Amino acid sequence: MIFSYRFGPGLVAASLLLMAGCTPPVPTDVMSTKSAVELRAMQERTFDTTDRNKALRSTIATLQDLGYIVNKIEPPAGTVSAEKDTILKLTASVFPHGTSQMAVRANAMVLIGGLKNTQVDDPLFYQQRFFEPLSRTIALTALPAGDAASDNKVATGPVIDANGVRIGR
Amino acid sequence: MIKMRNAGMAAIAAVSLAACQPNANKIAMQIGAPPESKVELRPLETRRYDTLNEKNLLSAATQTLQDLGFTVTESSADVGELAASKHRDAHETGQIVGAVIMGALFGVGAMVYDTDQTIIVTVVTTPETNSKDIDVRVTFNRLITNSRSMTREELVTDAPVYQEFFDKLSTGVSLEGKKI
Repeated sequence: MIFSYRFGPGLVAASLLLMAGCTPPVPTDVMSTKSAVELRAMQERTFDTTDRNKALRSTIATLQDLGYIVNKIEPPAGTVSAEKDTILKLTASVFPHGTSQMAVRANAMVLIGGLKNTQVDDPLFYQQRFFEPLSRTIALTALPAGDAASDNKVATGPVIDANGVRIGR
Repeated sequence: MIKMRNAGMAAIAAVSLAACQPNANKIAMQIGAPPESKVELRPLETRRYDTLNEKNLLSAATQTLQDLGFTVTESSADVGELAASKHRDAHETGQIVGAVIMGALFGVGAMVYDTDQTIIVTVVTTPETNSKDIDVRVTFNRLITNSRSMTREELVTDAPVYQEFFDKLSTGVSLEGKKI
Protein backbone atom coordinates (compact mmCIF):
# COMPACT_ATOMS: atom_id res chain seq x y z
CA MET A 1 0.00 0.00 0.00
CA ILE A 2 2.78 2.36 0.97
CA PHE A 3 4.48 1.41 -2.29
CA SER A 4 1.43 2.21 -4.36
CA TYR A 5 0.81 5.59 -2.72
CA ARG A 6 4.40 6.69 -2.49
CA PHE A 7 5.95 5.32 -5.63
CA GLY A 8 2.91 4.55 -7.80
CA PRO A 9 2.40 8.03 -9.28
CA GLY A 10 6.14 8.43 -9.66
CA LEU A 11 6.41 5.14 -11.53
CA VAL A 12 3.49 6.07 -13.77
CA ALA A 13 5.10 9.43 -14.54
CA ALA A 14 8.47 7.80 -15.18
CA SER A 15 6.99 5.19 -17.53
CA LEU A 16 5.05 7.92 -19.35
CA LEU A 17 8.28 9.85 -19.79
CA LEU A 18 10.03 6.74 -21.09
CA MET A 19 7.19 6.10 -23.53
CA ALA A 20 7.34 9.71 -24.69
CA GLY A 21 11.06 9.24 -25.18
CA CYS A 22 10.37 6.42 -27.65
CA THR A 23 8.31 8.67 -29.92
CA PRO A 24 10.51 10.34 -32.51
CA PRO A 25 10.17 14.11 -32.27
CA VAL A 26 8.26 15.71 -35.11
CA PRO A 27 10.19 18.73 -36.43
CA THR A 28 8.33 21.98 -36.12
CA ASP A 29 8.26 24.43 -39.00
CA VAL A 30 9.78 27.84 -38.29
CA MET A 31 8.57 30.19 -40.97
CA SER A 32 10.23 33.46 -41.97
CA THR A 33 9.03 36.65 -40.36
CA LYS A 34 9.57 38.58 -43.58
CA SER A 35 6.52 39.82 -45.46
CA ALA A 36 4.85 37.80 -48.20
CA VAL A 37 5.89 40.46 -50.73
CA GLU A 38 9.56 40.23 -49.69
CA LEU A 39 9.50 36.43 -49.80
CA ARG A 40 7.87 36.40 -53.21
CA ALA A 41 10.45 38.85 -54.56
CA MET A 42 13.32 36.58 -53.49
CA GLN A 43 11.69 33.21 -54.24
CA GLU A 44 10.12 33.83 -57.63
CA ARG A 45 11.51 34.61 -61.10
CA THR A 46 9.94 34.59 -64.53
CA PHE A 47 11.40 33.40 -67.81
CA ASP A 48 10.46 34.41 -71.33
CA THR A 49 9.19 31.05 -72.46
CA THR A 50 5.80 29.40 -72.69
CA ASP A 51 7.30 25.91 -72.63
CA ARG A 52 6.38 24.59 -69.20
CA ASN A 53 7.99 21.21 -69.82
CA LYS A 54 11.30 22.91 -70.71
CA ALA A 55 11.15 25.04 -67.56
CA LEU A 56 10.42 21.98 -65.42
CA ARG A 57 13.18 19.92 -67.06
CA SER A 58 15.63 22.79 -66.58
CA THR A 59 14.66 23.03 -62.91
CA ILE A 60 15.30 19.30 -62.42
CA ALA A 61 18.61 19.46 -64.32
CA THR A 62 19.71 22.44 -62.20
CA LEU A 63 18.92 20.64 -58.96
CA GLN A 64 20.85 17.58 -60.15
CA ASP A 65 23.76 19.82 -61.12
CA LEU A 66 23.75 21.43 -57.68
CA GLY A 67 24.00 18.01 -56.04
CA TYR A 68 20.43 17.68 -54.79
CA ILE A 69 18.65 14.34 -54.64
CA VAL A 70 15.32 14.74 -56.44
CA ASN A 71 12.66 13.14 -54.26
CA LYS A 72 9.39 13.87 -55.95
CA ILE A 73 8.24 15.26 -59.29
CA GLU A 74 4.65 16.01 -60.23
CA PRO A 75 4.61 17.20 -63.87
CA PRO A 76 0.87 18.06 -63.99
CA ALA A 77 1.30 20.29 -60.95
CA GLY A 78 4.74 21.47 -62.07
CA THR A 79 6.40 20.74 -58.73
CA VAL A 80 9.79 19.29 -57.86
CA SER A 81 10.96 18.42 -54.34
CA ALA A 82 14.61 17.79 -53.66
CA GLU A 83 17.00 17.58 -50.73
CA LYS A 84 20.70 17.92 -50.12
CA ASP A 85 22.80 16.53 -47.28
CA THR A 86 19.51 15.42 -45.65
CA ILE A 87 18.94 18.81 -44.04
CA LEU A 88 18.40 21.24 -46.92
CA LYS A 89 15.05 20.74 -48.61
CA LEU A 90 13.94 22.69 -51.66
CA THR A 91 10.60 22.67 -53.44
CA ALA A 92 10.24 24.41 -56.78
CA SER A 93 7.06 24.97 -58.70
CA VAL A 94 6.72 25.99 -62.32
CA PHE A 95 3.57 27.73 -63.52
CA PRO A 96 2.46 30.02 -66.34
CA HIS A 97 2.85 33.74 -65.69
CA GLY A 98 0.72 35.86 -67.98
CA THR A 99 0.53 34.66 -71.56
CA SER A 100 4.18 34.66 -72.59
CA GLN A 101 6.16 33.66 -69.50
CA MET A 102 6.75 30.82 -67.07
CA ALA A 103 7.33 31.55 -63.41
CA VAL A 104 9.51 29.44 -61.13
CA ARG A 105 9.08 29.71 -57.39
CA ALA A 106 11.45 28.02 -54.96
CA ASN A 107 11.14 27.55 -51.23
CA ALA A 108 13.97 26.15 -49.11
CA MET A 109 13.87 24.80 -45.58
CA VAL A 110 16.80 23.82 -43.36
CA LEU A 111 16.39 21.19 -40.66
CA ILE A 112 18.27 22.46 -37.62
CA GLY A 113 19.20 19.97 -34.93
CA GLY A 114 16.62 17.52 -36.26
CA LEU A 115 13.92 19.59 -34.58
CA LYS A 116 13.33 22.83 -36.42
CA ASN A 117 12.52 23.04 -40.11
CA THR A 118 13.55 26.63 -40.68
CA GLN A 119 12.56 28.58 -43.79
CA VAL A 120 15.47 30.12 -45.70
CA ASP A 121 14.80 33.83 -46.25
CA ASP A 122 18.11 35.09 -47.63
CA PRO A 123 17.69 36.62 -51.14
CA LEU A 124 21.33 35.70 -51.89
CA PHE A 125 20.61 32.02 -51.39
CA TYR A 126 17.75 31.95 -53.88
CA GLN A 127 19.63 34.13 -56.38
CA GLN A 128 23.09 32.54 -56.24
CA ARG A 129 22.24 28.99 -55.27
CA PHE A 130 19.22 28.48 -57.50
CA PHE A 131 18.12 31.13 -60.00
CA GLU A 132 21.57 31.94 -61.44
CA PRO A 133 22.35 28.27 -62.18
CA LEU A 134 18.77 27.83 -63.46
CA SER A 135 19.19 30.81 -65.84
CA ARG A 136 22.32 29.18 -67.27
CA THR A 137 20.56 25.83 -67.73
CA ILE A 138 17.40 27.24 -69.27
CA ALA A 139 19.52 29.75 -71.26
CA LEU A 140 17.15 32.57 -70.41
CA THR A 141 17.45 35.56 -68.12
CA ALA A 142 15.64 35.29 -64.80
CA LEU A 143 13.31 38.24 -64.52
CA PRO A 144 11.78 39.46 -61.28
CA ALA A 145 8.25 38.27 -60.76
CA GLY A 146 5.70 41.04 -60.60
CA ASP A 147 2.52 42.02 -62.29
CA ALA A 148 2.01 39.59 -65.19
CA ALA A 149 0.83 42.28 -67.58
CA SER A 150 3.77 44.60 -66.96
CA ASP A 151 6.30 41.76 -66.97
CA ASN A 152 5.22 40.75 -70.44
CA LYS A 153 6.60 44.04 -71.70
CA VAL A 154 10.06 43.23 -70.38
CA ALA A 155 11.95 41.42 -73.08
CA THR A 156 15.59 42.05 -72.29
CA GLY A 157 17.65 41.67 -69.15
CA PRO A 158 19.44 41.64 -66.86
CA VAL A 159 17.08 43.66 -64.76
CA ILE A 160 17.85 42.28 -61.31
CA ASP A 161 20.88 42.52 -59.09
CA ALA A 162 22.34 39.74 -56.94
CA ASN A 163 19.80 40.41 -54.23
CA GLY A 164 16.89 39.90 -56.55
CA VAL A 165 16.09 43.60 -56.35
CA ARG A 166 14.53 45.10 -59.43
CA ILE A 167 16.89 47.51 -61.20
CA GLY A 168 17.05 49.21 -64.57
CA ARG A 169 13.33 49.34 -65.15
CA MET B 1 23.85 49.08 -9.41
CA ILE B 2 23.25 45.37 -8.97
CA LYS B 3 20.21 45.67 -11.23
CA MET B 4 22.34 47.40 -13.88
CA ARG B 5 24.98 44.69 -13.62
CA ASN B 6 22.30 42.00 -13.93
CA ALA B 7 20.85 43.69 -16.98
CA GLY B 8 24.31 43.82 -18.55
CA MET B 9 24.91 40.14 -17.76
CA ALA B 10 21.54 39.25 -19.26
CA ALA B 11 22.36 41.19 -22.43
CA ILE B 12 25.75 39.44 -22.76
CA ALA B 13 24.10 36.08 -22.19
CA ALA B 14 21.45 36.88 -24.79
CA VAL B 15 24.09 37.92 -27.33
CA SER B 16 26.20 34.80 -26.72
CA LEU B 17 23.09 32.62 -26.99
CA ALA B 18 22.20 34.32 -30.25
CA ALA B 19 25.73 33.65 -31.51
CA CYS B 20 25.31 29.94 -30.73
CA GLN B 21 21.98 29.75 -32.56
CA PRO B 22 22.52 28.03 -35.90
CA ASN B 23 21.59 30.32 -38.77
CA ALA B 24 19.40 28.61 -41.39
CA ASN B 25 20.44 31.06 -44.12
CA LYS B 26 24.17 30.48 -43.53
CA ILE B 27 23.69 26.70 -43.48
CA ALA B 28 21.63 26.89 -46.69
CA MET B 29 24.32 28.98 -48.42
CA GLN B 30 27.02 26.46 -47.46
CA ILE B 31 25.10 23.28 -48.26
CA GLY B 32 23.44 24.77 -51.34
CA ALA B 33 26.79 25.45 -53.04
CA PRO B 34 27.52 23.26 -56.06
CA PRO B 35 29.73 20.25 -55.19
CA GLU B 36 33.42 20.98 -55.80
CA SER B 37 33.97 17.73 -57.67
CA LYS B 38 31.12 18.41 -60.10
CA VAL B 39 33.35 19.74 -62.89
CA GLU B 40 35.52 16.61 -62.89
CA LEU B 41 32.51 14.34 -62.45
CA ARG B 42 30.38 15.77 -65.25
CA PRO B 43 32.14 13.83 -68.08
CA LEU B 44 31.72 10.64 -66.04
CA GLU B 45 28.06 11.31 -65.40
CA THR B 46 26.94 12.18 -68.93
CA ARG B 47 26.64 10.32 -72.23
CA ARG B 48 24.99 11.40 -75.48
CA TYR B 49 22.81 8.94 -77.37
CA ASP B 50 21.90 9.25 -81.03
CA THR B 51 18.18 8.63 -80.63
CA LEU B 52 14.91 10.52 -80.43
CA ASN B 53 13.19 7.84 -78.40
CA GLU B 54 13.43 9.21 -74.86
CA LYS B 55 10.88 6.77 -73.40
CA ASN B 56 12.94 3.86 -74.75
CA LEU B 57 16.08 5.27 -73.12
CA LEU B 58 14.31 5.69 -69.78
CA SER B 59 12.86 2.20 -69.99
CA ALA B 60 16.33 0.77 -70.68
CA ALA B 61 17.72 2.84 -67.77
CA THR B 62 15.02 1.40 -65.48
CA GLN B 63 15.95 -2.15 -66.48
CA THR B 64 19.66 -1.38 -66.06
CA LEU B 65 19.04 -0.13 -62.52
CA GLN B 66 16.94 -3.21 -61.73
CA ASP B 67 19.82 -5.37 -63.01
CA LEU B 68 22.10 -3.51 -60.60
CA GLY B 69 19.76 -4.28 -57.68
CA PHE B 70 18.05 -0.91 -57.35
CA THR B 71 14.39 -0.29 -56.51
CA VAL B 72 12.75 2.49 -58.50
CA THR B 73 11.50 5.21 -56.16
CA GLU B 74 10.47 7.91 -58.61
CA SER B 75 9.79 7.84 -62.31
CA SER B 76 8.56 10.73 -64.40
CA ALA B 77 8.94 10.02 -68.11
CA ASP B 78 7.22 13.29 -69.11
CA VAL B 79 10.17 15.25 -67.79
CA GLY B 80 12.83 12.58 -68.31
CA GLU B 81 13.57 11.69 -64.71
CA LEU B 82 14.15 8.42 -62.91
CA ALA B 83 15.30 7.79 -59.34
CA ALA B 84 16.11 4.53 -57.62
CA SER B 85 17.75 3.35 -54.41
CA LYS B 86 19.24 0.31 -52.71
CA HIS B 87 20.38 -0.45 -49.18
CA ARG B 88 23.76 -1.91 -48.47
CA ASP B 89 25.84 -2.78 -45.43
CA ALA B 90 28.44 -0.07 -44.81
CA HIS B 91 30.69 -1.92 -42.33
CA GLU B 92 34.33 -1.69 -43.31
CA THR B 93 36.92 -3.74 -41.48
CA GLY B 94 39.54 -0.98 -41.58
CA GLN B 95 37.14 1.60 -40.20
CA ILE B 96 35.96 -0.71 -37.38
CA VAL B 97 39.60 -1.50 -36.42
CA GLY B 98 40.25 2.26 -36.34
CA ALA B 99 37.13 2.80 -34.20
CA VAL B 100 38.23 0.09 -31.73
CA ILE B 101 41.68 1.73 -31.41
CA MET B 102 40.02 5.12 -30.85
CA GLY B 103 37.73 3.48 -28.27
CA ALA B 104 40.70 1.93 -26.45
CA LEU B 105 42.50 5.28 -26.37
CA PHE B 106 39.68 7.71 -25.65
CA GLY B 107 36.82 5.57 -24.32
CA VAL B 108 33.77 3.91 -25.86
CA GLY B 109 32.33 7.31 -26.78
CA ALA B 110 35.03 7.77 -29.40
CA MET B 111 34.04 4.57 -31.24
CA VAL B 112 32.18 5.66 -34.38
CA TYR B 113 31.92 3.61 -37.55
CA ASP B 114 29.57 3.37 -40.51
CA THR B 115 26.82 0.77 -40.32
CA ASP B 116 24.34 1.19 -43.19
CA GLN B 117 24.14 3.00 -46.47
CA THR B 118 21.47 3.80 -49.02
CA ILE B 119 22.70 4.35 -52.55
CA ILE B 120 20.47 6.76 -54.43
CA VAL B 121 20.72 7.10 -58.18
CA THR B 122 19.14 9.85 -60.26
CA VAL B 123 18.89 9.63 -64.04
CA VAL B 124 17.91 12.70 -66.05
CA THR B 125 17.44 12.67 -69.83
CA THR B 126 17.61 15.89 -71.83
CA PRO B 127 16.79 16.07 -75.54
CA GLU B 128 19.27 18.38 -77.23
CA THR B 129 17.70 21.33 -79.02
CA ASN B 130 17.96 21.31 -82.84
CA SER B 131 19.49 17.85 -82.74
CA LYS B 132 18.35 14.25 -82.63
CA ASP B 133 20.50 13.40 -79.65
CA ILE B 134 19.51 12.86 -76.05
CA ASP B 135 21.87 13.42 -73.13
CA VAL B 136 21.66 11.01 -70.21
CA ARG B 137 23.06 12.22 -66.92
CA VAL B 138 23.32 9.92 -63.93
CA THR B 139 24.35 10.74 -60.37
CA PHE B 140 25.05 8.30 -57.57
CA ASN B 141 24.76 9.50 -53.96
CA ARG B 142 25.35 7.58 -50.74
CA LEU B 143 23.41 8.23 -47.55
CA ILE B 144 25.59 6.73 -44.84
CA THR B 145 24.39 6.04 -41.31
CA ASN B 146 26.98 5.53 -38.58
CA SER B 147 26.92 3.70 -35.25
CA ARG B 148 25.51 6.83 -33.59
CA SER B 149 22.54 6.86 -36.02
CA MET B 150 23.85 10.01 -37.65
CA THR B 151 23.41 10.31 -41.41
CA ARG B 152 25.65 12.03 -43.92
CA GLU B 153 25.51 12.30 -47.68
CA GLU B 154 28.34 11.64 -50.11
CA LEU B 155 28.59 11.89 -53.86
CA VAL B 156 29.94 8.69 -55.40
CA THR B 157 33.08 9.63 -57.36
CA ASP B 158 34.25 6.16 -58.45
CA ALA B 159 34.51 6.13 -62.25
CA PRO B 160 33.82 2.35 -62.58
CA VAL B 161 30.35 2.80 -61.00
CA TYR B 162 29.33 5.27 -63.73
CA GLN B 163 31.09 3.25 -66.44
CA GLU B 164 29.24 0.07 -65.46
CA PHE B 165 25.88 1.87 -65.61
CA PHE B 166 26.51 3.31 -69.08
CA ASP B 167 27.93 0.03 -70.40
CA LYS B 168 24.77 -1.79 -69.37
CA LEU B 169 22.53 1.03 -70.63
CA SER B 170 24.28 1.09 -74.02
CA THR B 171 23.76 -2.65 -74.34
CA GLY B 172 20.09 -2.21 -73.36
CA VAL B 173 19.37 0.35 -76.08
CA SER B 174 21.81 -1.15 -78.59
CA LEU B 175 23.45 2.24 -79.00
CA GLU B 176 26.82 3.60 -78.07
CA GLY B 177 26.81 6.44 -75.56
CA LYS B 178 29.22 9.13 -76.69
CA LYS B 179 31.26 11.02 -74.13
CA ILE B 180 30.72 14.75 -74.30
